[in-house]
Amino acid sequence: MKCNYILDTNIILDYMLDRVDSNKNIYTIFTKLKNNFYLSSSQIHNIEYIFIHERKKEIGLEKSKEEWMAFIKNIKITKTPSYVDINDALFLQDSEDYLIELSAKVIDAKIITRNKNFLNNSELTISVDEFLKTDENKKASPIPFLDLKSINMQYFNEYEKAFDDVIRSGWYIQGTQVKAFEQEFADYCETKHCIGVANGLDALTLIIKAYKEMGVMQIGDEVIVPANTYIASILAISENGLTPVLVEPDIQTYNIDPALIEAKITEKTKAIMAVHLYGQVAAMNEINTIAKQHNLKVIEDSAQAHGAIYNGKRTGNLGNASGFSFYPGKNLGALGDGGAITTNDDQLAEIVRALGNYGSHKKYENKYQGVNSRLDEIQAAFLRVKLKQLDNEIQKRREIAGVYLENINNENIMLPYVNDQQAHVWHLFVIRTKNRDELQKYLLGNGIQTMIHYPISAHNQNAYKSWCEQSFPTTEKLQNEVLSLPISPVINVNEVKKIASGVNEYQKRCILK
Amino acid sequence: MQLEAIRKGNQFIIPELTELNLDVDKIMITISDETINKSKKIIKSTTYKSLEQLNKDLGGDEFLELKLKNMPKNFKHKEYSKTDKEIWYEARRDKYEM
Repeated sequence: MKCNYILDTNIILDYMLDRVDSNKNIYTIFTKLKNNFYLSSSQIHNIEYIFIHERKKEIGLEKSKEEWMAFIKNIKITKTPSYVDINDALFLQDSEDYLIELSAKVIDAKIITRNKNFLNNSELTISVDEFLKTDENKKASPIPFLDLKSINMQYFNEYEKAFDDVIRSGWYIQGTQVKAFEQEFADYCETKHCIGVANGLDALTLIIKAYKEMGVMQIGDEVIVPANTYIASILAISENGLTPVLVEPDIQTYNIDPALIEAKITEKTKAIMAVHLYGQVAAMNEINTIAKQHNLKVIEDSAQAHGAIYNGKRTGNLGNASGFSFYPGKNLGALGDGGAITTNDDQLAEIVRALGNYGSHKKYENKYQGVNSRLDEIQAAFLRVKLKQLDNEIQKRREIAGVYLENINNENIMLPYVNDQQAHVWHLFVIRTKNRDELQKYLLGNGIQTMIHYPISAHNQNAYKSWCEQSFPTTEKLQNEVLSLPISPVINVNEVKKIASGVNEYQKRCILK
Repeated sequence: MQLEAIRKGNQFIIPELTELNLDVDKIMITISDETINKSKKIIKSTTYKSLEQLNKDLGGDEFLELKLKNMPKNFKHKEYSKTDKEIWYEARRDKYEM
């Protein structure tokens, strides 16, 4: 992980006013930083005043202001918190330095300064010489499976504004932020409706519950679902008193094998749940064709595939209804739990909305026996910030996946199969190998954290112990062989190449043994 | 009238104007600013060159490009006798008319 830096006012003024006599290394600092530094919002006015005051002597007021604007518009600014401790030693010594230090704490930054007092009084400061001696690449830091902090730090300023807006609104449940997010996400998915709910499991559960209210499904009915999925897909069905009917995956895509669906359809079957596992869209053409032939509903589990495009349509718009999760680690992740349902079905949308709100479509009138499952205003506000960048982040994930695909080169490793680039948003990058556990240990020993999605399939879980007699060999093969490598919009290419080398190197050792 | 002055080593020679019978001891020649500026060789200062290099290293920075445009090529920073706090105070005093 790269270190963040805040530049003290003296350093930034050395640069802006070319004070090479005060700081001989000033340009070297900026060459090394590559414009990757922050200023505390508390510094801005001071820098502006001093810069304009001095620069206008050289080039006049107008040109000085032009230079200031060219500078400030490209600078990353971090907030100055309002929680000031007036008894802090640094505050008592120099409140300006204290405020910069407070900003540095927000983003885990070091402060580069040539102010001796500041250097002596704050542990977060480093001198110019110390900074120039640091070597970012010298000490290889461990690579986490998912660096959620870095992902979210990208949006810190916008989150801060969103947070302020929500607090100031005085409205924290089902307010303007949720309404706006629902509209924006429906527009993104190109569906008529989006209904925010508390989490991804609730999204799927409420879709089935709504179908029950509509008379489309009833207790005891069956829903086809992949055996190779996260348990939430299955829980949503059993929670409603319906029976999950598990179908084996396609060994290439790991998604439900459409060729095996029809054999599992009975007169009780009412729906197929299509899970877009790891971010790759399931075989929706085949699934929709089967569903049409047997008059079944198609429910998408899109928890891992926000934004994927299949035949020109996005997930969320590929079946009758779709459940999304905004769990923090998801491609579109909140800062807590969150979920949504998308659909083009007006009646379903209306019932789902009521069911998530105690079964109430009108205040203090309860049409259904509902639950409390609503997306919070604050999460909706944060999600609106991230939704704007979702396509960019997907693109970064595709680039990272491309680096893995290009650099992992070993016959003992099975790389993920990609049917169509647009139809994969790389929530996870999952490889397969017979020596999975050893490889995982080896990578961990080399500072690379990996995960298994998923180590125990639903039919082997205690929660569904009555299914333990059932056999799903392909699912079991996958549960023993899959390994998820780190992938995210913030992981860098060098880290990915290091992981790829680790995977290649380990396999060589295996062969030599 | 135009006179032709010919360079010879370190001197310019003007031919004697016999046909005009001018009763003068001196002739003043005016050289335009344009001619002077064209001929003047401006040596880029170390600061200017360093900024050019930094701008190149950063792949073209909006602030640096504007600064280079506004800066004389032979720019040399004048050493400050005031501290940042003094300059800051002066700037604030101007703003708030203290």
